Amino acid sequence: MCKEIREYISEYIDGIASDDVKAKVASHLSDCQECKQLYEELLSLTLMMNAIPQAEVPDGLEAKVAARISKIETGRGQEPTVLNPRKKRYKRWASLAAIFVVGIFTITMYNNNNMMTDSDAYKHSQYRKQDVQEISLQKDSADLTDAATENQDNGSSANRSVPTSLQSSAADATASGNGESETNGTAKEPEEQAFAISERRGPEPEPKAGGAGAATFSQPCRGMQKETEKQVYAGANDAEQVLLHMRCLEEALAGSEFQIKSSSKIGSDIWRFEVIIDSETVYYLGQGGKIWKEKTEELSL
Amino acid sequence: MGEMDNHNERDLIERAQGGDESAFEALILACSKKAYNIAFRYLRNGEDAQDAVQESFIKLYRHLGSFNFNSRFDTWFYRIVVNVCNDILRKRKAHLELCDTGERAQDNEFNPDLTDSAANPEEQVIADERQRMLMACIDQLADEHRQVIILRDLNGFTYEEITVILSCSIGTVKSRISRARLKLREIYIKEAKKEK
Repeated sequence: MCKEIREYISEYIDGIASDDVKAKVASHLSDCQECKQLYEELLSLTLMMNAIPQAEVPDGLEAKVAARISKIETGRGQEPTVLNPRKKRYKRWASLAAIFVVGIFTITMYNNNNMMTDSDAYKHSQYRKQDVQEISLQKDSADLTDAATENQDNGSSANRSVPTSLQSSAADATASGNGESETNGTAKEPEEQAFAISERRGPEPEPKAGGAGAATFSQPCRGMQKETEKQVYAGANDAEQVLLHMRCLEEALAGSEFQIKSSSKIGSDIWRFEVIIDSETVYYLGQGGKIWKEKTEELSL
Repeated sequence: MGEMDNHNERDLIERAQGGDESAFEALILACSKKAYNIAFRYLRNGEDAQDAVQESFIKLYRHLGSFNFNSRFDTWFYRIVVNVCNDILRKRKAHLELCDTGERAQDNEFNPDLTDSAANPEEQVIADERQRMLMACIDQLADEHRQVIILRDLNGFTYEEITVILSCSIGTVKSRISRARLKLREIYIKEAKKEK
């Protein structure tokens, strides 16, 4: 009991313990002299630390910073650097995204036994062109989703929409070769999104308003196994997750010089990133938009 | 950044992102004291702390465009400061390892003599002898523990703010603070006995 209470004493001191914990600690402290003494010593130390005055900023520090920034700008002779990081960052993200997306698609397409080659897809799309055009004239993506679903077995409409962030990233990746991506990862119109994906599968009919791209993507695939579509969407989802966690890593490591060496999926939704920071390899785990350092050794007290 | 309300802060940041130097200077002034204190306590050296703060502001300047208002600006910036300090400490350790002749110093490169009266000028403000001894004990903590003590007990960040600065969960923060204080108490008791 004492061991458990000791873990909670700091929370108790800081006033952030839950009501249950507060009651537990208070009750134990009234009975256990040793823990009570520990509490009083920790409280005393904490109050002493709180009372330590803040050091004053040395004179001229802000001026030195201003001078260094001015030097940077003079050396560059360009518009302020602060406008460029996004471009540089998106160039890096876009190129990584492109590699990952293309890799996922290539592996998925290659592994499927009933997969069509691009030329087969094209031929099939030509054969089905009339169907595609008829469907593409429909009003909105919901209609298109239904139309595609009608011809599938137990098609889940949730699987029909390709993640927006992936498509935006993929589209950015296409543009990144010119380093001209100005986007901020914001969503594009549905027809543009699906068209960006379908481009990778070879020539497709022009998408029409209302998300014809969704039908365009699935119609030529009508002959393909539903599994392939699921794999492709799953692959697209994986890429989105990797990008999300890479973005979290970048935020977490802001200010450090680092390089993401590799990533791997170690659970149904857990990603492991190998990161080089100052020649040291550190592993981070990511899940559900959160990122944390992988524990490699027990903390020693 | 406590003096500015959210609207003013956002306006200032957007202007700084647009290249407004005076807006950027205002951001520096709002964060510099806390940033310096984090770095100073972390690196235990005024000169290194100044370098770390300068470096952090330069990185802030370069990365300001990537700030997307998903978190508070100051905690985002202090994360940069902590990461810069960690980089400096890593380089220091690597340098120490190269120079190691056999008798390893502790994690603490400076290994301050608790009876040293020729204190660093900044330390002179700390009149209370007990506080000075306490600081020396904090310097003996492992980096991970010292980090949370500096943020929580010396700079007054909340547990939530610390989760953002250190990019870890609230559970991890609670656990680290608890263990750091317990360890600090052990060191303090030992040093207090030595003094007697």
